[in-house]
Amino acid sequence: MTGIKTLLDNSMWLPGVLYLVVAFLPSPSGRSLWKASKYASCVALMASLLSLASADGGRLHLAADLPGRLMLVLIGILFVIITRYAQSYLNGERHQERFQRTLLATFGFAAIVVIAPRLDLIFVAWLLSSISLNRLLLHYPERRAAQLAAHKKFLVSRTAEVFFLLGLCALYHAYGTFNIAQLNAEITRGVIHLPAMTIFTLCLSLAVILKSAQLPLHGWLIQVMEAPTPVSALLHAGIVNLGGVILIRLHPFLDRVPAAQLLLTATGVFTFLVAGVVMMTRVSIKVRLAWSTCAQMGFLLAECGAGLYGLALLHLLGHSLYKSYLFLSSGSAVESYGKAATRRALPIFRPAHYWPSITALSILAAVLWGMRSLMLSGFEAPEPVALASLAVGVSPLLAAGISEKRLLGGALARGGALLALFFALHRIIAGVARPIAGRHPAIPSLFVLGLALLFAVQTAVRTANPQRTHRIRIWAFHGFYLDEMFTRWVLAIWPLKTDSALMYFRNSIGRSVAFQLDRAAAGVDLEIGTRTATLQKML
Amino acid sequence: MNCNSIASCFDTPGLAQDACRTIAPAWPLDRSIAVSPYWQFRHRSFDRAVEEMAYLAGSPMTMPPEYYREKFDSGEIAEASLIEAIEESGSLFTREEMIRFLDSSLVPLLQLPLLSDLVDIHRELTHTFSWHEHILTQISQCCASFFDRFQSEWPIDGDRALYPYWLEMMREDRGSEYLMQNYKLRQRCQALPGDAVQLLEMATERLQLSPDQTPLLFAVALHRIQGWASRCAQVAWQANLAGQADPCHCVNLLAIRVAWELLLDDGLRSASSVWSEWQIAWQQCINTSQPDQIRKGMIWLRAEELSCQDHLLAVLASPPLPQSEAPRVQAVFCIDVRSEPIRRAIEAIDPSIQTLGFAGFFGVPMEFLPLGSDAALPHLPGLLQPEFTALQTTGSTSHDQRIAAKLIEEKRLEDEFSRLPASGFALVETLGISKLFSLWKAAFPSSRRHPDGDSVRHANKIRLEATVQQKAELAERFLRATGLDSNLAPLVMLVGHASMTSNNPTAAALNCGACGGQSGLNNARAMRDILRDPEVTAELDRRGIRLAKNTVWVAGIHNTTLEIVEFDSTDLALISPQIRESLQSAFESAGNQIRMERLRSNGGTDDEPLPSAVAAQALERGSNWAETRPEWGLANNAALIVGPRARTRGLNLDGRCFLHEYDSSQDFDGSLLEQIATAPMIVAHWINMQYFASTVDPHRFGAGNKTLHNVVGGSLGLFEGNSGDLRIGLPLQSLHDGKRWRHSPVRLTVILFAPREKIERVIERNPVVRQLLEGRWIELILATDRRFERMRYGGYPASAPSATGEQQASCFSRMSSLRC
Repeated sequence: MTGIKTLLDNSMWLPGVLYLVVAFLPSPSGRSLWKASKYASCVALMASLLSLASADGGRLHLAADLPGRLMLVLIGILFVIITRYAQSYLNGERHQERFQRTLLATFGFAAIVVIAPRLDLIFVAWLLSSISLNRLLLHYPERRAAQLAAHKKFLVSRTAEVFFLLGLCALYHAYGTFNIAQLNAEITRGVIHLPAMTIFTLCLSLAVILKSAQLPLHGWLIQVMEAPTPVSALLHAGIVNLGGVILIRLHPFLDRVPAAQLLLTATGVFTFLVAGVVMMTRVSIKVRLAWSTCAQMGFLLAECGAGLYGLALLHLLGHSLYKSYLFLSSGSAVESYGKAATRRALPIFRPAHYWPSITALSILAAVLWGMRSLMLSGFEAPEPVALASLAVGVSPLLAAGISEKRLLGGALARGGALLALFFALHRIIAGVARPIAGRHPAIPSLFVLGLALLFAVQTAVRTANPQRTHRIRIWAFHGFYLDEMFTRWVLAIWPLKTDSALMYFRNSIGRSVAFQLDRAAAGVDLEIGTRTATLQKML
Repeated sequence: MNCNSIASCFDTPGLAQDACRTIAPAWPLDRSIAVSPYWQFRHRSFDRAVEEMAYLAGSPMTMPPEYYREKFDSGEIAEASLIEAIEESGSLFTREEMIRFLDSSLVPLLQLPLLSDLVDIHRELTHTFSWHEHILTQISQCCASFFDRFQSEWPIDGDRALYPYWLEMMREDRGSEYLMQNYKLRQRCQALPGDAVQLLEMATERLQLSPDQTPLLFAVALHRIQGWASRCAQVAWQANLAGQADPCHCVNLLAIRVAWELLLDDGLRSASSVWSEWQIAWQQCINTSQPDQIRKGMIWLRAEELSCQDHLLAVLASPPLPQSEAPRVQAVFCIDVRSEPIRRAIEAIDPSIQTLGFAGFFGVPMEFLPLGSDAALPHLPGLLQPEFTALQTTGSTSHDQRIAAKLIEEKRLEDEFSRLPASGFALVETLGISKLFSLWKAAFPSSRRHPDGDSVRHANKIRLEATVQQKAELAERFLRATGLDSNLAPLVMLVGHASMTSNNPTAAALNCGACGGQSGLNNARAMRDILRDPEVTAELDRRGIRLAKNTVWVAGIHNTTLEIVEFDSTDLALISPQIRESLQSAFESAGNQIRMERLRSNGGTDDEPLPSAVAAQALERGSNWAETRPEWGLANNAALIVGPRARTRGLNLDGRCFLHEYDSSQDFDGSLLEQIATAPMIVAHWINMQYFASTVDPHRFGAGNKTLHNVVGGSLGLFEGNSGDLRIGLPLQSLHDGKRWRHSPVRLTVILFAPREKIERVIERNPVVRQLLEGRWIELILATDRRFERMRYGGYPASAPSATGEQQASCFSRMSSLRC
């Protein structure tokens, strides 16, 4: 029996270790390395499933740290899918082996972050997975846009790690341990070193905000389309979520620090509101998906801030699966365009939708509120914020039914099924992580306000005359100019390399004139020239 | 000076139109067909186009030296061909010089500069983006939002033309100012005129362009944003075909690009100003000739063509397989190069089957309307405008209506929930987990397959909306062109073709080009239905075509990824079981043979794998959502053979030839030949030049790396990565296998089995055909009894030596010994 217990307790280490071992195996390359990672992926997925359970006194039950274990299963699944995909996709590309090994390493470190029982280990693994990911982003190192995105990501992540490290120092100073279970237990018991705890929680929140691509430092997440599709899938479905998992695992801290709750909720609400609006103006599939990730991450952090940990976990898992699928299948956009032929004939601008939208939202809100009041006795009802997001989300379906009678039946059926599904899932997952303290009413209010605003903008955009929303559309189209400052700053401190296409172009222009030949034939000369000029200025 | 006087002596709108006329159209992704990007240069010679493309866009039209080095070393380019090419060019290069060139490195071509390029030359480009990059991104994003009707949820105010739309956006654009650290942009935009032509007039005046410079500058500017320009050109092309007014997007786009030049002009005109530098650079570029590399590259290109022709002619000179007098089955395939191997294999396996080649839309100029849709897809070559609509149907109207209503409802409700930002959160928290099944299904696709590839099951019939007279007209043309008006076999099969590929934005490029980038099955069905129609046969009877009553017409599909040929499922019952089985087994063994050949050419395995394993592999490729090379499409196409199948039957043409059926003895007035020369030949030329351009200049005329593809506006086109110009042409993975190019860029050789007078008459009557031949865009070889003769035009010596079959055969044996 102890054998089984040991196996179950330690199986959580297997995926990470296995990925890393394969990543750093000395000999195989190419096809045999893919084969090795295939076997590793199967074993790791099994192990991650085993790790969900724990044996105690001859009885099997769910493991204590369930959010992390569930994330591990998710990583196991993504690894199977993404490596399989990448094997075909990158066939014939240069530097395949480097890609494979880096991919394995990124997954390996990520698999350790989600289950590591100690904060110092989390710090190290998080750092390393982020650095490996940076290498993946530079798979085509000559692309200047790829360089810029990687530089941005590098700077943001290192800043996040500095915050995290600061927080860790404060925490260790006060509590003398890095063990998460012990720390959580002490906090829950009420052993509170207020300054240290506050500093740690705020630092952690900042680190998570930075790593979750919240506005206005989101640019890197949007601009990573310069790396192969599987990298985007991995980043948007896996790596960007790690911060959220850590927050959920350390939620007793968050529950005790209202300032951090407010910080997370405010940032999250601002991000999902703005990113949601910008998303509506995007013209290419992958960039639209990226803005959507940005908004979803904002929503996730706001949920954490508001103490909806169970839902946050559900959101995290659902979003990972959803987004990885959408990224990997983004080539089907043309096919779905064909299937949407009916939609093309419909104008996007639908003034007739205005009242149905509002009516539908009111009806749905009333229905959900009624259901909640009925449920209060004995059954754990979803939080008002959760119901608000549900009402806002499902109401367009109902609105379509109200404005077009022939759609009403389908709309009601689908809407009803979605509500039922939500309540069922909520029931299952709510117990995985419950807040140990309530929230100040300002936080859920802020959250609901954000949702209401997004709904209002969305409805306005679809029903108002395009002439009237034209100016604000231009702002939204440019992402409200939030990224430009960051871009310029990054460019200023971290120069880009001139790529071959640019050099070829410059040479072919430069060759036309002798005096330009001297300066432009080699970009290096030009750089040295400028550098000398700068030096002279400094002297 | 009075600005009006300058403007009037320039005729700016005319010059702008001229610049727009240098851009060939590019079709959207869902209906993409091959177009020659050099189509608008056809009235110049190929040689002139090479120079002009260099000056205008820095675009090479030959391969780099190392490519020819490899071909020369492997013997694929014979030494004799090189010497012949040198002689033909009339240049003074020696053979040694030419071979030394193969080890030289690539020199950039001379390219006419813009003012903004000179501004860039003075900037340091490591801490900032170049204007070149920024302008491209800015215009590209703006165009995408202007043309997009699908991806974005936020409707644009659609009453403006492209240039005013851009101007309004620029007047608000704080991002460009801040990013490029030029804080005058918005203010300067205020001073720009609101109309494209006015802007261009202003530019000629402000930039003090000379009359020679203006047209060139316009063309250079437009070629800088050539992807979107091609998109605009296609809108104009379509409008022109449909007889509508041209929305003039291209001129607007030109105005945008030129406006950027005005925005970056500092207004100084002193000797040391950027403007003066630019003018000097421009003049010097014009006065300097392009590097020698360009001429040497052309000689090598020609040498490769000659070697390729030698090989082809040698094959054609060998005796074809005899054809049975009374075939049991006739099968009409598309002229596509992928039909050639399978036709050869089928005929070899079952001599009682006769195959024919005809354009894969079977002469039915139709658009197809799928159930539940109100946007019809053209199923015909891009040169034509649809005349008929074919509706998808299950056969029963009420059933159709039910299905359509259900499809519309599903789509509408899905959109209402899944595309809105505020619904995204609830979506993820309810249906997010269920995507696990979608992921799994996509990653491990089932091995089953819908034979027809129809969007809706059982909706495998079509209804062509045309009168009996019209149908009879189509049938008559088809029958006469294929020679099926007599000698009809008891079973005639019309075989369309389609590829099988998953998650592939450029899928249409692998489908039937003659059917507008769709599957050819529906066109085959349309012609089959016409020929089966008793009213039509009666009408044909009146027109003098007596179709045998007992002939069974069936439709079929050639899946080019799997190399299988199947009957349309509704036709199965009409064929007697015995014939059906024998045909199916012939198709199957032909497929096995081709798949095995393909495996070998891909450098497959040494040991012989089982046919079933090879077939499973092909199926795996076709259904794998991560596969970037499901098949090689029309790669390596080189020639069009117009003649009777009897002359090519059984000859191994390596899948490099388009085969069009033609019997000059039945073509009394030359009208059939004229039809072939003005339609299928042009289509073959377009395909040939698309592959050519995507190989010689993958950065401008290729769609880039598939691993970075990012679909724009549902079907507008592709970005490679975040943004950049719209990418047109074929992706790298369609041409290159990671080790070597799978397409040899050579111009199309047309081998014509017809007497000289007939083709000369066609050339006289059709200026386009004449231009293509004179300009050496296409080379024509006349085949008479075992003799092949090059038709020489323009710069060619008219009395070029004609090669006989025997000579060619000896040449071929020399080549094959070299290869060993």
